[in-house]
Amino acid sequence: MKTRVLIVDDEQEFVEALSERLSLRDYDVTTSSSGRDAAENVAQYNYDVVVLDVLMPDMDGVETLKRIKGAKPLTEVIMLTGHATVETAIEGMKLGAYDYLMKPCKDDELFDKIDKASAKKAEHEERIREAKVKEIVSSPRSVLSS
Amino acid sequence: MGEALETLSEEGFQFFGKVTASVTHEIKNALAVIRENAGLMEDLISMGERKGGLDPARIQALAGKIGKQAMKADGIVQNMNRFAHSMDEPVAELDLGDTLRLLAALSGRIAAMHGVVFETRVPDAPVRLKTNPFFMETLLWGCLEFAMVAAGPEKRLALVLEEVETGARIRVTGVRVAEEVEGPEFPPERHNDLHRVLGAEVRLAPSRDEIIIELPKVACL
Repeated sequence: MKTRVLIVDDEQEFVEALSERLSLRDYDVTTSSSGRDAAENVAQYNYDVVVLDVLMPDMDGVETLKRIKGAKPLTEVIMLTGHATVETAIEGMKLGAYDYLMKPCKDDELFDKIDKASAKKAEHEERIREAKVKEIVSSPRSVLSS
Repeated sequence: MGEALETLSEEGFQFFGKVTASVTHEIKNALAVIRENAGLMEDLISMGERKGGLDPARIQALAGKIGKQAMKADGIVQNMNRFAHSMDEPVAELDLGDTLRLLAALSGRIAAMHGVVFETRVPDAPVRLKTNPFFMETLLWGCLEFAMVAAGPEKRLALVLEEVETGARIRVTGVRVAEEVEGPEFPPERHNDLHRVLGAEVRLAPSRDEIIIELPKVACL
């Protein structure tokens, strides 16, 4: 299955180019131009990784991150930052972001981080599945009650 | 005067720091767009080499986008350079219309973060003042910062410059400051020294929908 990526940035030309580059590499890409739109998208659809700009009008990156994690805790978030906002990116990591990258970012670094973040999410989901199977095996009646 | 100088320096450093951080962020954004479009161009060329079917019009369009962003970054750097040079002389004659246009341009990213758009309306003939250019920018920036926070629902702020007998008047229109709501004090007390040194008078209009800045032709520095 393709990795589902949501890119969130108010810089339209950046989003367009990055989105096409990811699509060429076989990622399933969606874009949002604001934090509010991104939070609504995440609540409605499932993404593996969100690439999120830290500094945006209307809703900043940290608030958007909180909403994303509140709606879909397993979705991994990579924060993009100019150097002036590294502190915000670090705050984001404390709030559960997978990692951060500085703009302009090296190609391999971004693609590599997206892959690793997606793998982490898949592993986490697998562990949850295993725990559920264990629960069913140890107590088959739990299936009926759940 | 020592204490006043300290206050002026502190205000000036804060202003310089904010503008530099915002401008370098804008440059980073332009570089990020250049980087991604250059990367996309490489991707398409290498795909074309492998599979054939390279579209020259597409490559040309991407080159155009890169060129546009390079020019945008160049404009930002030029503005930053002009701003840095405003510290060259303690007293100089300046064209206030130019200063307003420069500040509006420098505020680009910060204004966007507030969802605010600036428009400058200046007379055709230059309005010249003899003053300290950097302190003048610091004073005007303080007013613009307040205006961005206090912008009315249309989020459109106009910087209207008029030549008056005593010097110049700037009106910042489009603000809406409610009396009953507690907000940042304006003009802030910490700007008193700045106003005094520049001979400026800054106030909110009685209608509380515009900021009025009166400036003398020659500041008594």
